[in-house]
Amino acid sequence: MQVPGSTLLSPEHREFRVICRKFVDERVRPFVSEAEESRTFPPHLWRQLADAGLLGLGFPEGLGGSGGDVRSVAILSEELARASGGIAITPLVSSYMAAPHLVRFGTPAQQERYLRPVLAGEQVAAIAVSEPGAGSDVAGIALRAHADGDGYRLKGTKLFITNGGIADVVIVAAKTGDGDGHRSITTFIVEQGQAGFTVGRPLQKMGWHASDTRELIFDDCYVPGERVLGERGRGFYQIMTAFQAERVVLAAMAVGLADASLEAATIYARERTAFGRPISTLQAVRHAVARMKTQTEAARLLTYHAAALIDAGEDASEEVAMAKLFAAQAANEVVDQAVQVFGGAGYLEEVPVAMHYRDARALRIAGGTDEIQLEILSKRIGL
Amino acid sequence: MTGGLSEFHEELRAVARKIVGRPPSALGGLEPQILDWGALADAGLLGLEVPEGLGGAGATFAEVAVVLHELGRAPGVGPYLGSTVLATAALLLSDPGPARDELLAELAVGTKMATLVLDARTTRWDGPTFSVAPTANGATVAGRAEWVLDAAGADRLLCPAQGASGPVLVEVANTGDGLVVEDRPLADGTRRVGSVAAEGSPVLAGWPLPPGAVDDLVDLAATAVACDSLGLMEAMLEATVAFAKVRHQFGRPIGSFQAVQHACADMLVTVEVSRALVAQAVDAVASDTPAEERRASVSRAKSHVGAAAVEVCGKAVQLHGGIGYTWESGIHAYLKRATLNRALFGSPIEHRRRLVRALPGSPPC
Repeated sequence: MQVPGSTLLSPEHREFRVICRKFVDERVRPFVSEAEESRTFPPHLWRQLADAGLLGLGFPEGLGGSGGDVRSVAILSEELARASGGIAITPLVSSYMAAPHLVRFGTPAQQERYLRPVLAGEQVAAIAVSEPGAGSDVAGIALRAHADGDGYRLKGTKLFITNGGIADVVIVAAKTGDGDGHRSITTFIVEQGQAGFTVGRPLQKMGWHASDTRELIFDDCYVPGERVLGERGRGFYQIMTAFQAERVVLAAMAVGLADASLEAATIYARERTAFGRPISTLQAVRHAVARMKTQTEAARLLTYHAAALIDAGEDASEEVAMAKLFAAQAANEVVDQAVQVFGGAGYLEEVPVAMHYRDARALRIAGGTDEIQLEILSKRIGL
Repeated sequence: MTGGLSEFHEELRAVARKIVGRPPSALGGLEPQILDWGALADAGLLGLEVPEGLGGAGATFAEVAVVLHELGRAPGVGPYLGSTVLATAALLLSDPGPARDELLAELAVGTKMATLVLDARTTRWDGPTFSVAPTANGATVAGRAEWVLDAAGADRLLCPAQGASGPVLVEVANTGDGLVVEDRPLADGTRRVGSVAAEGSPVLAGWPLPPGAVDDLVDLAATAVACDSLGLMEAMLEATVAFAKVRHQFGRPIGSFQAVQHACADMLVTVEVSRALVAQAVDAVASDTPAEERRASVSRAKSHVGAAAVEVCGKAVQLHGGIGYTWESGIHAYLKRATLNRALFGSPIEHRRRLVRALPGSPPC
């Protein structure tokens, strides 16, 4: 196996990639078609992922973590996405977008009760921020949490919540004050099945078919005070902090998806003949594939660079935004070109590039749209 | 195109090409070519829009557009845009009379050159930057404008100015009497712009400016520049295709490589889309199209063609390889003129903004 080399990775990272690829090839790939068709994440994978240590990367060992750093999470994201974006996003949301809130802001009791089972693959987590009227504009959420005795009552709706229907534990952002949205948001831990909390039907999506996405409805759902996660009124900042690693995950997924499409297009270009010769001898195809490789590698380096900065404890806001922006756009271009190289075959469901094509589109929207990344950068540049 | 003269366009094009048209490779040399003003005058190309009674051809902007297109194909130094297009159009919007008619007649035969004193970066006119003051035996004008096309070589300057009872167009002699005209160096060696500063310069003649007249002139100017850009990119496509056929690398013409073929095909698509947009804008400016519709046509053309010409000329540089980067190739002249054209009378972004503003219920931006 050819391991994408990078000066930003250690020998341990490269070994870890080999482990991930083997796991994905043996344990994940055989289930991709079925998962896509049934629109269901294969449930047996949770335990296997946990046993391989892939759900606890970067978490303290005392809480069930398995060592590793942000670059390890990036590598895992990349390798999972090479097989299927819809399968990849499911555990990545649970362990690396929702669970970090519990690690960073949870009390020991909350961690014991909610985090440990998630890292062990026994429970699934989700993070619920987006609403019908507030996607990128986190400060604009409308779901309210009214104080009621020792706890709160949640009222409102969340939308586009990944793992919404399969999560045992949902971290919900709600407004606890009337003031400025940046200072009046609090996050809560909500359990599946508790009174006042219902989930809508799975949303039918353009891609990420194996992933479960729902509307969550809170109708005076009572949450006891001990399930406030972090500090009251600090939710906005908690969410923003968690976005860093979350966006690295999404950028890395884009890299994996681009890499898989590049690889598929390369193999196909060598095999497919037209005009009496392999299409790989036609400049239009050769150059297209060469460009795809350059874009993929550039996206990879930006992503690793952002991850390495976070690992070094440095502020990586700009690098994360650039990586997320560039990798998502590059993946879309690379996948589009891969479909073009495949010609008519690229439009058939049985080839993976058709799936990657649909899946790639989500990456320019989820976890902060292209435009949000551009705004972050514009502000950081000082415009 | 409209007008009863469209059947003569091919003939007109041939005449213009004979005078101004040289293949880009002949642009070699360190100095840009100078337009043969005498030949243009003899062929009647300086007075196309001037009424027949004044020695012109009594034609329309549709015919002027044919010449502008040819001037883009073979850019040379000369005040065609400032004098023949803009100054003539400004005079034609003014009331007839001896002073106006005399100047129009001189412009038509090339014995005088003039320009419209208007900042060439204008997309929407904010009102005059000059004002007229009466004197014992006439009037003087004072004010300042930057980025005036073909200012330095003009014999007469036509300044939109604030008069006692509204905006007027006044004629000033470029003789230094209270007037300073300064050329501004440009990367593009084929166009000239300068600043005009007047301090009590004597007014030779004046005409009331009809409402909206200057904005109409800006639209006309933007369309004229779009015609020029279309010519630039058309010539660059032809030059590139010709070069690709004769330039050999790896034992064969580079035109046999798909990468080059497809790049040329992309250029062709860009040129043809631009051609359609420019034709529509020329038609709108030359005919009695309602103002709103005309403006939209002009903005569609200028927003697209301005950027497209830079892209096509840039591709021409790339496909010519090292030769494209040499001064002798002359390709740089096209790229630089295309880059300047993009900014004249509304950049792509300004014209897109204008298009958005014209949409029903659009927010201010």
